[in-house]
Amino acid sequence: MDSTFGITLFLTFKLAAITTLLLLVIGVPLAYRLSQMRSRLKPWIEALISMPIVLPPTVLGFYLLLTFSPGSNFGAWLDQTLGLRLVFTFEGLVLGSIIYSLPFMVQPIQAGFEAFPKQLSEASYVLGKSRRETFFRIILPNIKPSLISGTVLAFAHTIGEFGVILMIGGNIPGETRVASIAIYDEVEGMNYAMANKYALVLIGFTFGILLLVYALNRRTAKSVIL
Amino acid sequence: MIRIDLQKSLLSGHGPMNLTIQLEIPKGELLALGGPSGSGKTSLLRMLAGLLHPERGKILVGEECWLDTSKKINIPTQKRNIGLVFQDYALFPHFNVRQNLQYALEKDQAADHLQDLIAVMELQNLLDHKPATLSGGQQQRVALARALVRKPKLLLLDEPLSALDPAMRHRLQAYILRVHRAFSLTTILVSHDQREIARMADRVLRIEEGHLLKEEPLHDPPKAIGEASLELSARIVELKKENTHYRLQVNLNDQRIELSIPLSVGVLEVGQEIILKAEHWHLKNY
Repeated sequence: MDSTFGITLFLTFKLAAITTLLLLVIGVPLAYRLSQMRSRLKPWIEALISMPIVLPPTVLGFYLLLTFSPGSNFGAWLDQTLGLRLVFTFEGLVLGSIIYSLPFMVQPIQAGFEAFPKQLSEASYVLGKSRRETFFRIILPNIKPSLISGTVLAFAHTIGEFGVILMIGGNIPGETRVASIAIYDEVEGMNYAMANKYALVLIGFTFGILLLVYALNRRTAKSVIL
Repeated sequence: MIRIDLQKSLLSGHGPMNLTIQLEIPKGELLALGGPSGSGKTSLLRMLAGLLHPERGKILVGEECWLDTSKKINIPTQKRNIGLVFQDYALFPHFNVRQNLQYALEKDQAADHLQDLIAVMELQNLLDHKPATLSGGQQQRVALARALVRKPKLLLLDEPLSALDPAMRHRLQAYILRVHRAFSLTTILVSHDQREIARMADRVLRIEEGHLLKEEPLHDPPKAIGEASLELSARIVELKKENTHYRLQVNLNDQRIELSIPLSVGVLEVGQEIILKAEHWHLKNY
């Protein structure tokens, strides 16, 4: 029993870690683009990215299921040409989680970019520094609190994910069974003690990580005055 | 020689405005641009820096062409080698003073020029401080030093002293003049303070509503401000404590001078020696 417990928790954190890492790679450039964008497309893109915040996760899960199931054209194509099956697999969970947690990564970081004083980037250009160097050495370090917020929110949100996973992942131990699903499953089986064990770990972990963020943000807020 | 011929339509506080500037600046000149706010002074600096693009125009700096809209030449900001000091300094908040200066170094540039600048601008004791912990005048000195690290051909100062109190303004004017000469720069200073302009500039021009008015002759050709290094030692002979100040009588070469010093300096006693130091001079009535 204990090994299932460990496997499930490990899978939960592995999913959240991989998702968060990929979201950083996708989210930072995306947030920067959006912060610079003046096109009429901007509200459309913003609305699209933010939809998972308000939409029931089962809706997203449902359409992902339809799209990726081997019965659909696209799903069959993925399966045959790339050998990639995204339904009831860990890879599928990562993809679903990325879409589901994207706004939690993008929104705080975009806000950070938008609040960043343009004059500081201009000062860097005047000193002969390229856009790239300015971005990495001046802009990113100065929006650290936003980066931390985005990372933690995306991570925590992925840990707490339920609906999407249930729809496209199911409940396969070691592959798609994460803590939130396990809790539901244990309760269904009247196994309250086990459900409680999962729940306590999640509570402790979530509190700990949020505490860390607020403590870190407090420290940076003190030392950096923009 | 720098030749400027620029046209740009701008939106000012009073509606649309056409900025039309034709200007020649000899090498080594300290040119001051005056005029009310919103008249286009800052926009002109930004166009010189390549941060704002004119609809039509040319910028020639010596043999180099920085901008020629008719030939579609537009050298990017990064390659224009200018020093620009922004109105609110724009120091990088996550770097300390040393890192702010080092950031400005070019890839293979030796750091010895940095040492000169640190000495000239008297930044030795500030190197490990973050900008947020510095006073306005100190930040301004760092910004000025940072702008000079790349040895620019052209130094652009946008209202460099407007945020400072009068005593600090005086000292910084001296600093600006010092670097202008020490590094033989061509400098354009934007300010709406007539007296500041008159004190420092070789030539004064005025912009109004986007147009350059004809030159304002300086009534007083000699430089009205300069640096001095004078130290006099005097001894306190009488001491009176008032509300906020000490009123002192000091003896300087058998001459009695009265001084007023804020109480915040600490405890003073009769018999103590004090040093009177002058860092700049200026002509009377300025």
